[in-house]
Amino acid sequence: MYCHSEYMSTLKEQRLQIRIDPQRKQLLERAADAAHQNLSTFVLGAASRHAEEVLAERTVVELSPQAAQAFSDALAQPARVNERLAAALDRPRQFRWVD
Amino acid sequence: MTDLRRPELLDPARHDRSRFDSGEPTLDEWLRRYAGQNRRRDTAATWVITTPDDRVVAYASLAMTAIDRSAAPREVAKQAPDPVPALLLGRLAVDKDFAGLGVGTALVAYVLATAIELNAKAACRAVVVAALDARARAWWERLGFHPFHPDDPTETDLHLLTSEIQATLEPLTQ
Repeated sequence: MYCHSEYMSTLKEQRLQIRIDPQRKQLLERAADAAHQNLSTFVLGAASRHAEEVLAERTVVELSPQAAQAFSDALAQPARVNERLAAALDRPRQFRWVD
Repeated sequence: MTDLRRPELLDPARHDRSRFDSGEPTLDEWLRRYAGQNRRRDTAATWVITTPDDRVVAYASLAMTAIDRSAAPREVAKQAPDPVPALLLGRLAVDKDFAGLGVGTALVAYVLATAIELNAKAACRAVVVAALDARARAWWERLGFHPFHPDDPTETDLHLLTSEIQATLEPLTQ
């Protein structure tokens, strides 16, 4: 099974509250209407797309103090075979390359 | 047995992206609407695996990045350590119709081989992936990727060192 082949959990149990001035809210409502979506769906969709784009195209990946330490330690270790990776690459493919 | 073409750069004029459905709307929409424009801005390169008749069945977007370690505790590093050049595998998605064949893994294998080549020619010390959620993180961990923050269950950035990729791939290709 592949990582992005199924939907994320659709349980909407969290709430996001944002203060907004009336003009901007009107703008978002007009755009949501034009896109035939309700305001929540429209705002969430636009924000999610932007979030995904920002994360996928970072020119700098900033690490927390603990992560930075763990990563520096890993870099200092001699290279070793990654068993999980080896096992994954060893699994037979259910397709073939055409060439 | 399904026949597929080896990974190549996305050609918006030739490759059919219209039917692509990974089940992750943000990734599907990005491929359909933005990949061409994005390439023109040169912020990411998009690689695809297609059927012999040019239908995209999997894609990955790649960009160069730098891993900033400057938050590391001071007592260990007197001065801020240099940023580490790395390859960011920002997006990876496989069409549902082709799930379970090993296409995603094959595309990742291609990216990992690319990292080895880049490292030899220009320094690329790691491959970084951004998992969208916990399920995606688990998929990357099964492939051997390490969460940057090992003890934080909400961490969604993972990496493989190019040195371990090389140590793992070399025996397989010999």
